[in-house]
Amino acid sequence: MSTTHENKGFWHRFFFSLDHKDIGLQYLITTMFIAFFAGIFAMVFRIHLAFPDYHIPLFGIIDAKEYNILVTNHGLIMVLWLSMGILLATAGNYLIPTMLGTDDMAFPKLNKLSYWFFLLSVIILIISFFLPQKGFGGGWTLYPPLSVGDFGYNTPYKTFSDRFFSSNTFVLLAIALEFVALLMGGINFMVTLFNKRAKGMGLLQVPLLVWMIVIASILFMFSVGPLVAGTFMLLLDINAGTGFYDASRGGDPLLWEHLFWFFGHPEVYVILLPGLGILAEVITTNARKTLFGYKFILVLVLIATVLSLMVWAHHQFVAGVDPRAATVFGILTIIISLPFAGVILSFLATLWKSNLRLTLPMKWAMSAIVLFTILGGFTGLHLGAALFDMYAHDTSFVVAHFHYTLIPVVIFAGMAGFYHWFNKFSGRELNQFLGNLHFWLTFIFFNGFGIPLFLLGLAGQPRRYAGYDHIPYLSEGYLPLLREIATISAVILVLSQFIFIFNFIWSVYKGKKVTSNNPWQSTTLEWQTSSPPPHGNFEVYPVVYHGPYEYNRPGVDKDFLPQNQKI
Amino acid sequence: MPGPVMAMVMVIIVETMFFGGLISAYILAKIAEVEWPPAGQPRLPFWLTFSNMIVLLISGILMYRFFKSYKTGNKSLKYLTFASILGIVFFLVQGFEWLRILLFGIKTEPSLFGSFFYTLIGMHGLHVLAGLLVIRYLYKYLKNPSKTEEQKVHVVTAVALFWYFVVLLWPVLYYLTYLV
Repeated sequence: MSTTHENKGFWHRFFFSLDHKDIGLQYLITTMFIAFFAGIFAMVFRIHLAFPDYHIPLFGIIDAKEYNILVTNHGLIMVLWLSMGILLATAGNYLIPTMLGTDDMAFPKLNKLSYWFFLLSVIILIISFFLPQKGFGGGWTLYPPLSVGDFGYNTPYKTFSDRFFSSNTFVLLAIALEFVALLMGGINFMVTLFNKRAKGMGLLQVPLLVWMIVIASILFMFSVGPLVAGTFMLLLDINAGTGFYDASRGGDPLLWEHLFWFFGHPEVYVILLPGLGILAEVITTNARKTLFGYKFILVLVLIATVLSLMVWAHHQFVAGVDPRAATVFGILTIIISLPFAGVILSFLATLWKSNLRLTLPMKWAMSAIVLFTILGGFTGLHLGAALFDMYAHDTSFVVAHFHYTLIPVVIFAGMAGFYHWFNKFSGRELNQFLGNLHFWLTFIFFNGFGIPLFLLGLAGQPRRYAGYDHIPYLSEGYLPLLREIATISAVILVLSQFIFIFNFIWSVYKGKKVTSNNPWQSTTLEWQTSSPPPHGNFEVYPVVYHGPYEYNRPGVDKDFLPQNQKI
Repeated sequence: MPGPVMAMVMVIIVETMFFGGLISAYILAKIAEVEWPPAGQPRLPFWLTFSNMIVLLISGILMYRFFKSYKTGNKSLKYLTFASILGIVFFLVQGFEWLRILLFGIKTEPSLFGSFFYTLIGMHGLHVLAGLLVIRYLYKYLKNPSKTEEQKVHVVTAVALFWYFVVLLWPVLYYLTYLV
């Protein structure tokens, strides 16, 4: 590996560099760029739902078709590009080699290729907004027949070029390319973990975050195949006139739902596991205690990984599954909460009687645990029961539920990680005041957005409706007020992310330079090198003597013992 | 496990799940129908494809011979060449067969049976093609003097694994589409 890599300028660093740190930052910037639009989309359609007559700047008064496009793309981008782009690709690329004390990934060229595929998928997704349909509007789950034909659009597909140059085709191609990108990344993560650890580092001395990203990647590989097959068949249905999902020709639209959710549910854990890994790192550092039950957590996560492949049909209780199968899927869904309860309890046991440092990353981490467990996890138990799910499934209750599972993991745990590692990858400090402002605004207004949706859902507000004016019972009493609270909160929630973006850009260029390479006094290897790490990560490659979380160990003069330091 | 081999194992897992998705969709569609293949659809040529399957299986065995001998230090590429020639024969015969049936199918209304047949067999064909391209790459890799013998053995193992996957997948697809 050449060491003349650095100082070759912006173009080289952000397009051709093979360094895993540069690729990690490329992923970070690309994902933030695309998520910016998804956030704007959410703001626009929320405003439309609460104030249908309000003329939204740049968008005007949106109609039902535009509403569908905005909701669909908000969901697609947030679930497939933001969540996996941040928690798997960015965290994995930047942190795995540094945490393992090695110079780079196992296959740097494959890694570069993975990012190019990711970038290509983002570009194709953006192109889909400029095709005649102005974006795909059939729901982020892409159910046929909505995703096959020109349903709801004014320009029916007549020729092959109409069908191929349609938003449907382009969205599906973008998804397929993104999966290829993440598969290449996942293979890299796994081989790096098993083959490129620092000298002396046993498999059970690896920081939990690395394990979590690798297990998530393996789960991704096991679950994504059927969806790629389904996507391929859907592309053929659109473009080659096959009839896999066409009931009039013997096909079955439900087939797509099975193939989709066979991936779609494990996907939740693909996102959750790296989030839990970040929490483990932030919590142990700030609690100054060793992680409670490292092996226990690993075993629980492996159990949950296997279970997660057997729960997908709980997304289809309403669409129609055999009642006997529904019982089995319902029970398995409720069982899968047990391993995660175990993981959360281990985190709480780590916090128990610790010398807590309430730093900014710790605030994010602790609120992630609270929100994910209390409002995301517990409502999941309710929905796991088919009987309740039948009533709540098509209401805002489910919308609130999955926002309470995904936002604590992606935004709160993701931000915990971002604020924790920012000074490592930039060599500068974030502005603490703006950071705190960002945290409190996000925390308050996320709840201001989510809790009203639970109440609205229980009152019977259906989801995926482009407006509620024509439903009398939803315009009575406190319900319009709840919708307005949810909307105003959602708007402030999105706007307060601009504080973060400003803080990020300003601190990268103008922030105070870090005075220490290990400001949090952490034990893992990425803190034992300079900030930002040089090309190749370490001046002297570390030798590991301990597990990853040696805090307050008796007989050591400081309250932390880095992995590469002998007693 | 060496890096290239581990990566190939993961690729094969993904591929297995991919074909698992296609095959389970096919089986579900089949049991929902009364008559399969439906009336009026072309009958598939049994013996030609059967002999073609034997060709592919022999190619797989030759690949195994090559892998064994390469690992024990015999650097001759003879068996690899035979294996890839048989792979090309399989690909061409199956490809012409596929196109012939496809041309017949275009004249009639595309049916679910046809859709599955073209997709399953076509996807396998693409994988054979990918396998042949990977073998082409292997020739180049083995001639590269800057790679160590150890690296070469790992890459040979990985390529052989992929070829076994392609070879062993075919009898399954043959059984599912041509026999039952």
